[in-house]
Amino acid sequence: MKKYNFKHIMPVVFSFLVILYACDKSYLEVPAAGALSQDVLANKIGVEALLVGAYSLLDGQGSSAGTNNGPWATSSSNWVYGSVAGGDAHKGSDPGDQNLITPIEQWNATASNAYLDQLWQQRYDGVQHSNETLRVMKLA
Amino acid sequence: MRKFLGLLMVPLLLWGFIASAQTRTIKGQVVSATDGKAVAGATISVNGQKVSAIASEDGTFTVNASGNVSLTVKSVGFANQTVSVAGTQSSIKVSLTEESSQLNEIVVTGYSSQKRKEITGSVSVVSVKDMKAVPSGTAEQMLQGQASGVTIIGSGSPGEGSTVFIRGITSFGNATPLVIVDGVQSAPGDLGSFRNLSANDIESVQVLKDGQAAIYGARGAAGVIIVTTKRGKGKPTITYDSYSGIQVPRTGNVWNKLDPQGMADLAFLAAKNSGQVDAAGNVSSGQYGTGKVAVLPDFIKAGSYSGVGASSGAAALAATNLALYNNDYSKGPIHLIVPANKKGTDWWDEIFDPAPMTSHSITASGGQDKSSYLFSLNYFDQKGTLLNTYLKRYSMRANTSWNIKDNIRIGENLQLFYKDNPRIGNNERGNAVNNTAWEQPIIPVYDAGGGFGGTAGSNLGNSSNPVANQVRAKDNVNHNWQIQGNVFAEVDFAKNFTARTVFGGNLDNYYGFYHNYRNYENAENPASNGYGEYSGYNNNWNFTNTLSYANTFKQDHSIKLMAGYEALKVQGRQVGGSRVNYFSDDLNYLSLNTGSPIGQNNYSNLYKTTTNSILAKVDYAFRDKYLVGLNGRRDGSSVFGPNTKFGNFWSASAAWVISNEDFFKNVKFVNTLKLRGSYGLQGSIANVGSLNQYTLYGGGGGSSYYDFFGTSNTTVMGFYATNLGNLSTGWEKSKTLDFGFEATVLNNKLDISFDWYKKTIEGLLFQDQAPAVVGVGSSLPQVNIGDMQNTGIDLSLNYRGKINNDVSYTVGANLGAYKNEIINIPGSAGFFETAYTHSSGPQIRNAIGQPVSAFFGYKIAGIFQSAAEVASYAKMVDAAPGRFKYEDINKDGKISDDDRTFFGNPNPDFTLGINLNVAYKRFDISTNLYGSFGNEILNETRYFQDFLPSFQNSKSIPLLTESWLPTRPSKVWPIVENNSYFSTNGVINNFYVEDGTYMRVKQLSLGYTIDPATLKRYGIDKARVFVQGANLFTITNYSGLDPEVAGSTSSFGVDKGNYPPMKTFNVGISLTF
Repeated sequence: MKKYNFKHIMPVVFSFLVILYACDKSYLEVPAAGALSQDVLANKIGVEALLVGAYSLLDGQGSSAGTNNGPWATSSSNWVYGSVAGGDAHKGSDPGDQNLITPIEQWNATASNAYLDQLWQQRYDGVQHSNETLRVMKLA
Repeated sequence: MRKFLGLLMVPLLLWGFIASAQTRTIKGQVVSATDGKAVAGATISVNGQKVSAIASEDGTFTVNASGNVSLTVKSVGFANQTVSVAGTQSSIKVSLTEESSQLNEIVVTGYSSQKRKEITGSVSVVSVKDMKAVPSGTAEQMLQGQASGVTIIGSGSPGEGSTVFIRGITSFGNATPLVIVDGVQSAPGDLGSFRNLSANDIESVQVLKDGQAAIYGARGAAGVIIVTTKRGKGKPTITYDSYSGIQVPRTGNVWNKLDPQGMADLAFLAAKNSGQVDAAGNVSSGQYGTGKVAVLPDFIKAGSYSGVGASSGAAALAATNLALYNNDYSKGPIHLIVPANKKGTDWWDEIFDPAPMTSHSITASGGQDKSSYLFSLNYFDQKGTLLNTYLKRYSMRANTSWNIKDNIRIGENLQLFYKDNPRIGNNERGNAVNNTAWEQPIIPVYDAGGGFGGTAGSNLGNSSNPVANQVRAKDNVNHNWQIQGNVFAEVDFAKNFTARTVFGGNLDNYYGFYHNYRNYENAENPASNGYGEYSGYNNNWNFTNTLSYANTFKQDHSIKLMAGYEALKVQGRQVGGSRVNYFSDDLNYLSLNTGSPIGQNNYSNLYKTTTNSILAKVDYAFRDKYLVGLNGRRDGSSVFGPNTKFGNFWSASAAWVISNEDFFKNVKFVNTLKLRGSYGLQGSIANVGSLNQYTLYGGGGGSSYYDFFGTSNTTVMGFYATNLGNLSTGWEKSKTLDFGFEATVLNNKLDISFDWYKKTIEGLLFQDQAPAVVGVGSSLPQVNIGDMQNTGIDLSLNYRGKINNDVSYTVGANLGAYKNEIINIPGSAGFFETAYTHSSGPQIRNAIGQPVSAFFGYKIAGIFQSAAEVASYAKMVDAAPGRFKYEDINKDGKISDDDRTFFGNPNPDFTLGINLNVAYKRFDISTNLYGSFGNEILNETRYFQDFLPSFQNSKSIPLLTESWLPTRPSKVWPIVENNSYFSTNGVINNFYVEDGTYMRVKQLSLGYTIDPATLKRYGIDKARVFVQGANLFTITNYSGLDPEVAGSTSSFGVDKGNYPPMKTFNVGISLTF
């Protein structure tokens, strides 16, 4: 009732204090790993790399935008909207394979045709990459 | 202390002297009212006289008392009983009734444990005995149907995780509840630490469903599952539990497919329906010849010839010469000779075969005052019925605890295991289950040269031979070593304080490699073989310190306070590489060095998140009648930016134990009744990546490197913004209002627990839905994008009964019903779409006012039966007799995008689990049933099976026998054609939606406990043998393989090829030494 307290309280209280003190704000700051930030790229080499990244979307591939139906919707050769719609080419494969192309071929595509959505997503992504290059160039 | 007691003795003795004039000895026995067995250790006290005794092993006791006295008899687990003993009486038999075990159970709730009757929130206590009866390699599958409000959707793939959500879907992303095993938290959204527990090590499982979970702050929004593993107690015992059995898959054309002649006839029917015949009315086909009737070929491929053409003409016949056969790329050009299987290959039967499963556990445990220990070893081996998949797990557990002095307790819990678990991707397009539905029956498993048969050949599609895939995957390896556990120390001091510190975590190390063969048998074969290796670790630990104070003032006021601090870290790393073009496929030759340096690939990544928190809890009880609880927590996490880094979470709950009130004492049929209500705010961080707040740049070969200089064989490294950061993203906030009651009625035989709840989740974390002009290729950040609401009820009933002295039974039911509604999705569209199909766009639209994951598209109003009907109906593209007509939802006279509507809801109306146990003398029968009612399933596999033009795969029988023809007008099956149209399978419509209601007998077992007397000779204390059947039968109208279909939360209920749970038969034995 009297004697044993201090021997046992002290280490417990002490460890509590140590923990509270040892835990500072920086424990909750975790920097991003495996990625570059804007300040690292704000120089000649960095801006040139961003320019290459913008060019890389010229082939219509590689962006994660517009990939729900695979690469066919966004190809920069424009074969779906140009050749297939223009009568130059058929979609090919089975009738049910990529059948969103069929309404485009028949000039029947509606606004809900996912191909159109994805095409524009990819193109605008190219615009974004170019604008990003200009933005970082200003900081360089 | 001693002196004090000594002083006390004097008046006692004196008093005893005075009373001894009429003192007599009362002898008695305390027995249990249920079975008449002695209750050892019961305390008997004489009211008004400070005399007491303890009942011995056989329940007998002796007290000395004078005059008319009343004795109060108490024992843990029994209701207190007061009996009066008249002055002339000197012997008495006291019969104690078992107190409702429900209210006296110790329940671990958020950093402390309380008796069930003191809890003010909604907690489901799982019957571990019923849970363990289900034979499974993953603990969460055993939990299905055992707690009301907890929905678990699994599959038959050994070791595959299940989708778990509590009280409805609470997020568009990861809605997995937090799991705490012995005080160690799981990594966000990961049930791994629970999944891999050995069933025999589990002591208790509780589920916190309402505001009580707020004590877990930022991780409590989806509910909390608290698991405690066993501790040793009592005399040293060794138990051995084991069961072995066999899993039996369905057989015999499970997909209801046509045989090769049927497929051939179907191809000709479609050609005729589509007008693809020549002037004489002949159809020409790649495999089935030219003519009016389809002819099955002898060879589907021979050299460069296919089908009927491969056995007509001298050149073709020469190609079937076996001497020309070659399927090895290194020996020259591929020349395949594939005979047609005219009978038809049943691909499901080829890769699904009966498979054994076995589990052995041995546990040594014991404990007394000073220490307790439990060691267990477990070996679990479940071969999958799917060829070359299995779960093999060796695990070891050591739980010990020591009491040092009177007030210090230390201990540890530790589990080490090694797991080997090759599986297929479940419910994914193109997995092994899909391929059994796709690969045409005319293709043989093996070709004429002993290689694999495949789709190389005309018109056979481009699916792959599932037997070939599984056989080639058999050398792939994925090893997993894990340690999970904790150490803890507890100190009681200053009479009412307890300090506790726990440090625990999980460390998961994995390593694997895979070998891709260069196929030759498919229509599309890879350009080379390949090999890859990978390795990594995942680790999370938490360090929790709490200080609690418990005291009772003036007999009436009981207070418990708790304050604490916690830090948590989750991190991991992974590294891997792959190469192609190996000279040899010999397993011993394959390593990353020996592949070609051209086309080599390597990668590594790492992640880390940290959280720290302070928490506090107050519980106050007045006379055990009025209970109030408050808890609060402040969390800071590294995943949020400086503006939103910290969040505060709290909850308040209250309960009124009506049965302890005086006015209630006379109510006979209600034994205990507690009303409770709570409100709380919890959070979730499971759906935000650790990089969310940062704007980051990166690149990769396919995504941003570019052949700037036109060399055509090199690229220049480029970058782009991979991640657009958002500093305002904060916690998902979940507000839960809960009212409920718990009662025991009918003489403690029936336990009832009922809750009504309303859970509003605000600021759901999901990827930002920005218009495309923003450039959605960069990873848009997760933002707090929407609000969702779940309203529902949970009901749990448990009845214990006896028919006579030999037969007793318990029946339990757990029911959970919820309605989910999306309240808000910002952005002008007010919806977002998921579950994209390969060809036709998205199938699910999450929109305001609808439940999450609702199916969306055109609604079929029937089939056009004639040209006149087509003309008189609303204007519709591709409308023709025999094709679908869609409902004109907006009645504007034409079928357009605006006529799309919501036509199905995968959220169940309610789920129900039933446990039934009957004991007759030494026999016991138990069964668990589980069912889901009112949910709908979008059977995407039917897109491929029920429409000819969708894909060149095997088709279902009704296409040939029931499809629409002018002579055979059908109201359900459209005309079979060679083209996809808007009016058939060109767009998403509700042809694929089916009722997914089902009820399944999860297990049924019959056991026999051997007479202990016979066992004494062998030194065995207790033995039980049992036979069991699991997944015995399922009642459902669903036409797919199985109605239990998992998926991500924002797109679930879509069946893309689900590995169904298999019927299993086991025998087992359980011994205690």
